[in-house]
Amino acid sequence: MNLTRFRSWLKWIVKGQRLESEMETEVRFHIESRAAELVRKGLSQQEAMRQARLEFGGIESHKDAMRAAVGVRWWGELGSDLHHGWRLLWKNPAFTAVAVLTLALGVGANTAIFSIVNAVLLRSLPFAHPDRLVKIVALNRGVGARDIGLSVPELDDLRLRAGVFEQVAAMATGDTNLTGAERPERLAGC
Amino acid sequence: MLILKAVSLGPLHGYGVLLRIQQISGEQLEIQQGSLYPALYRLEHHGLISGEWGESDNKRKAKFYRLTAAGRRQLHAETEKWNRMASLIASILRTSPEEI
Repeated sequence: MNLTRFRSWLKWIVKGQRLESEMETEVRFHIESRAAELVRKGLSQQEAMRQARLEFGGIESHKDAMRAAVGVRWWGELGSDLHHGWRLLWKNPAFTAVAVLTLALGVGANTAIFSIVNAVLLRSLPFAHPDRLVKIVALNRGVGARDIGLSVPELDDLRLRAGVFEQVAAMATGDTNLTGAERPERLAGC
Repeated sequence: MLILKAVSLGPLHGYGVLLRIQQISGEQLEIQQGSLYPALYRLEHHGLISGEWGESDNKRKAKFYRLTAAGRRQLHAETEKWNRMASLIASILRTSPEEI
């Protein structure tokens, strides 16, 4: 049952133009048939047509009810709304430009802010326990220097003797060579 | 229900449905002609009748409606319901003071 209704509705959406003209033909056939009967009863052709139209009632409102019966009236209304909106925009190009620009800036700014929020707040770090991750920074209070870097023996001390960390790894920036059993490779760091 | 009944007696175009209802009701029922069509479209939309283009008696293109299987079931169910309702009301109206 629902499928029947959906199919009928779809037919109207796809073949709307043809069905509109069929609807017109159907209504015209009715009015002319009625007029022909009235002519047989002795009315003049013109008078019969007038009377037949009168008896039928408002053609457009009946057609609207026919469209509503198959659930496509809103489709036609959407079309005329869009058309109307487009015409108004076309009439006021300055207003349209400002509106489009405002929307574009708004959308752009929103996207930019969201990408930052997403990276900083929403996406968690790609480690198992990010809350247990720390960055060790070496200081030299004597000369007031900060983040001065560690030597390999200092790193070994942290790894083996500090007893606070499960694991310690070092980060270094800059290009470097990777050597081993195979041919050495140059790695680009940043 | 009246439209389903009219169409059940043989395929009809819209104007034919109107004439048949008037004929079988002995000209007692006055139907606003235009409002017949939204009803026909609704019935077709619900799959109770199906419309097909054909040629009328006067060789004009016209849309003929016929009852579908679902329409036949619906007409049957509605006729039953109507008869039940009518006999219920009739028996209520027949009730005399002695029977209470």
